[in-house]
Amino acid sequence: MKHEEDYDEQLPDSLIGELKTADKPDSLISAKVDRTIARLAREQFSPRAERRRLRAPVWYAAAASVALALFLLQIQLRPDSGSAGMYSDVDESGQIDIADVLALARRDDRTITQSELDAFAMHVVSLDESGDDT
Amino acid sequence: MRQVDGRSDAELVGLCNSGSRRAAIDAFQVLYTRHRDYVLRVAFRYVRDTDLALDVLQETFTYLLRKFPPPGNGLVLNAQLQTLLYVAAKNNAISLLRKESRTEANGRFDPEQMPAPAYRDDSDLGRLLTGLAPEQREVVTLRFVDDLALQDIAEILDIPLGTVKSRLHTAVQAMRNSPYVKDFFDK
Repeated sequence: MKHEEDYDEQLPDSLIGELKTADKPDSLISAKVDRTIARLAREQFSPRAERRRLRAPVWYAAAASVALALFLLQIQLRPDSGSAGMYSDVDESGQIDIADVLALARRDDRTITQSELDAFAMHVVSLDESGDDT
Repeated sequence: MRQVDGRSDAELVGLCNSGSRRAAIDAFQVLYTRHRDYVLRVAFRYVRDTDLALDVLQETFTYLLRKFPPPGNGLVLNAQLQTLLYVAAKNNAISLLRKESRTEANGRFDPEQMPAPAYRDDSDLGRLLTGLAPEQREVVTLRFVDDLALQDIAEILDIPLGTVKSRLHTAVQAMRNSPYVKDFFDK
């Protein structure tokens, strides 16, 4: 058989026929091998395998959601670490103002840092400013 | 009598990649039926043992199967499927021969000599082919027995097209000059 126009390396057809005959294996493929391949194909393309493939992203998303929820819960339960807990009516005067900042500063609470106090003060100031606007 | 499936290898591979379960199984079955004899022939050329050749056949189609999802990412056919199967079957055959040679005191496989299609019969043709250099024998077999195009042979053997032509030319000249098959050329 000639594949390339510019190539004429050929053998006589009778010799090619002999080569093909010599190349044939001694036996045919058994039905057992055919069945094994068919079984492997069924297993490979089984609905279970397909479901596994489709479900994988859902499981990843669910696991990520649970991890996020646990992370947020942990932050919320951490004592006196969030601004929501700190920005409160410390002196129980009925309002959050600069007096609460000073009351908090007077406490001997080593868990409160200077930067957190500054942040509280800024928060109070911004509350006052918004009150002025209205 | 079973009808010949008219779908191309590329279409069938596409169904295996993304078709429904039933379509994928059916498509793979057609691919297997279409190429199993070829894979067995290639395997037999290297291992020269029916049982081992059947093992290679099974390994080769399992390898092909795993290309498809899941767990594979899908098969992209850049060449003929036959090319891919040849390389897979040859590699599986060589692996099997290496394994066998490790378990046998006198291994049949010499890693220093890359195996080429072997002909053990003592006919004139067998003597002729055995007389060719292994790389020439392989090119002759791929060209005239498998009817592969020169470019496909180059891809399979991972050598330049010019090298394929040169090996083939040398092999055919040797065959022309061989007393074993002189009659074929004289007819």
